[in-house]
Amino acid sequence: MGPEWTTMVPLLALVACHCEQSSPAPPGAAAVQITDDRGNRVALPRPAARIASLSPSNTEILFALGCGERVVLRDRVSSHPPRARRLPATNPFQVSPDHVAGFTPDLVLLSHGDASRIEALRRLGLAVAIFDPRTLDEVYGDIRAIGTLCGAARQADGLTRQLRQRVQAVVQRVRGRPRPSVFVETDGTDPLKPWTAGGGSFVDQMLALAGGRNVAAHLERPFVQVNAEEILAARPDMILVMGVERQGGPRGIERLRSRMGWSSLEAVRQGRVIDTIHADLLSRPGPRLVDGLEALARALHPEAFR
Amino acid sequence: MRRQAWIWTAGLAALLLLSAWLSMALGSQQGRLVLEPDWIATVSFDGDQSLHARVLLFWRAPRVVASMVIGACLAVAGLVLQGLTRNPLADPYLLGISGGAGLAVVLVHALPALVVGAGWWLVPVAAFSGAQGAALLVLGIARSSGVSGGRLSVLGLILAGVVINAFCAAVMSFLLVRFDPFRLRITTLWLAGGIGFTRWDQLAFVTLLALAAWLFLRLQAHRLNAFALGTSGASAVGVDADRVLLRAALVSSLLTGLGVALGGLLGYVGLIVPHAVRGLVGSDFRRTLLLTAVAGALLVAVADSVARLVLAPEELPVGVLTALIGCPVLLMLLRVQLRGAGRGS
Repeated sequence: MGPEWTTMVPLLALVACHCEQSSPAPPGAAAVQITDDRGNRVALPRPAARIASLSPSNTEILFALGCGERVVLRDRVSSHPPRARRLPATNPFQVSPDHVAGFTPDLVLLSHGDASRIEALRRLGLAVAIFDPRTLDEVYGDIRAIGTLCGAARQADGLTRQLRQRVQAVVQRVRGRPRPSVFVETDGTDPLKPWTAGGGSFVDQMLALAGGRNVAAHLERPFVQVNAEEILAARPDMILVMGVERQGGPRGIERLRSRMGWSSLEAVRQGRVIDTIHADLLSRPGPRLVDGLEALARALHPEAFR
Repeated sequence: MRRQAWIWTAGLAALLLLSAWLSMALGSQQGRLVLEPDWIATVSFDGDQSLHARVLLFWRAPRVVASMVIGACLAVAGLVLQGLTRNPLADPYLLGISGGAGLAVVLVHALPALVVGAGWWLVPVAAFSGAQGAALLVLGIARSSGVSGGRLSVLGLILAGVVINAFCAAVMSFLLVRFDPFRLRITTLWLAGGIGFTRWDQLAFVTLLALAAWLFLRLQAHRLNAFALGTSGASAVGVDADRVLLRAALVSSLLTGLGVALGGLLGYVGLIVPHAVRGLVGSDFRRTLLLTAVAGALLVAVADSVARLVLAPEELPVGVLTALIGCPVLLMLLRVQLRGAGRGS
């Protein structure tokens, strides 16, 4: 990585300088302050200019607000937009304060983290904000907060307004239509005990907005491993297979057909399996959730979008 | 022998200082390994610290100290357990004592509301209680499985440890199933032996307790020596064997608990270090206690620096390194032991 790196640093700096002109924060902008999702007050003397963005949702929000050029360090999982992948990356599970400090960020954005390491980052005097929204409304709030921290509050308001309108449009289209029951498979590595998304997860919330019904909604945890028998007994009208793009190999439907007992499901026999929506669109609490919602609504109610 | 012990202690202490200096000077700057020999100059003794100085003061330094305390605690715990049980394979990790401590800490992690309410000291206290419970169970099981000539049988102890470890692992798995993936990942890394961030006040709390435990053991050294004759032999030379045994077991589980609270399940330190030390200066506790503490501190301090830097900015769990060194040593000892036992019967 070394040589590639050294040539990239000045390049990135150039890009940053170039974009700074069209970038939201006016020079000499005033101090900013927000309260993050954990109730911590985060105050900066001026809008953030060097950001360590250590979760994919925050990275996507920053880029969507036009502040992507200020990201100096990302986590390995932050893969979108594609140009984010050119940034140096760190391990989100074991953030090294030493490493982060080396990039002299004026703001560190996290969504989860080892409590002791978060404390360590604060001990170093770094401004740390944690955004781990649970609902779409909280996502809007976080976009607004991140916008404020970057001096891009206006852009944030524009973005959330747009997102709200798109969500509203979907809700209106599917209103009054029958709500098919859906089994969500987030990870089928063990076909006998696939992982699903329980009630309160973002997939669950998007399903509800898209005019569907999550058969695992009664399980009140975002990630649950369920017995395949229960799924067969629940007889879902449709099946949403996530993560196909990651695994490669056969499409979702082929995979389900080859499993013992699953061909008895009406949804599998009739091919009512959704496997083309990228998992990130339904799990990362950023602006792309709405892309996922639209795709999901189209898949559940194609007739409503004709 | 006595002078030799001092020479070794002084030598290892010097190495320990050198390794501490190196750990402070070595860091990764934007993904590259860098050595800053003038790191002390970055720390100012008046007014505001630079970001880099704060990295040194609040991240690297406490971590170096923590790794030393952990190493000393686990090594001394192993030394005492081996002496008490007259069993060279006694190690807090192998005997399930660390497992008990780990389980208690995972329990605390599973009830985060409790931690917030009770403060940080709950973790070391829980670790100590878990270690204590496991130690009593293991000694109890091993005792009921047969004592021959005042010596707890090697197999009895190890098997009791296997049972306790298996039990603790099962309960931990049960608890971990309910953790969300992110917390699961973090807890798993911790269980593999990971030294992270420790506040100075927390570190002072643990260090003071560890020092007190060490002093207690040092004052009991001559009584501990009597255990070389076995429990009955110790009684014969006028040592209240049961009382000393119980107290020393209590203190070594305290040390184990402290080590686990700071560094997770770090295996084999309590096995390798005491063996090396006894090989160097014999088995008199008056000589081995200090040297074991210093050598344990050195081993974990070096292992942690390697773990921190070898994949920087990623970190390797320190437990991986100590296990890589420890497993062959254990295998060797086991061979010697079992061959000896075979000849005896």
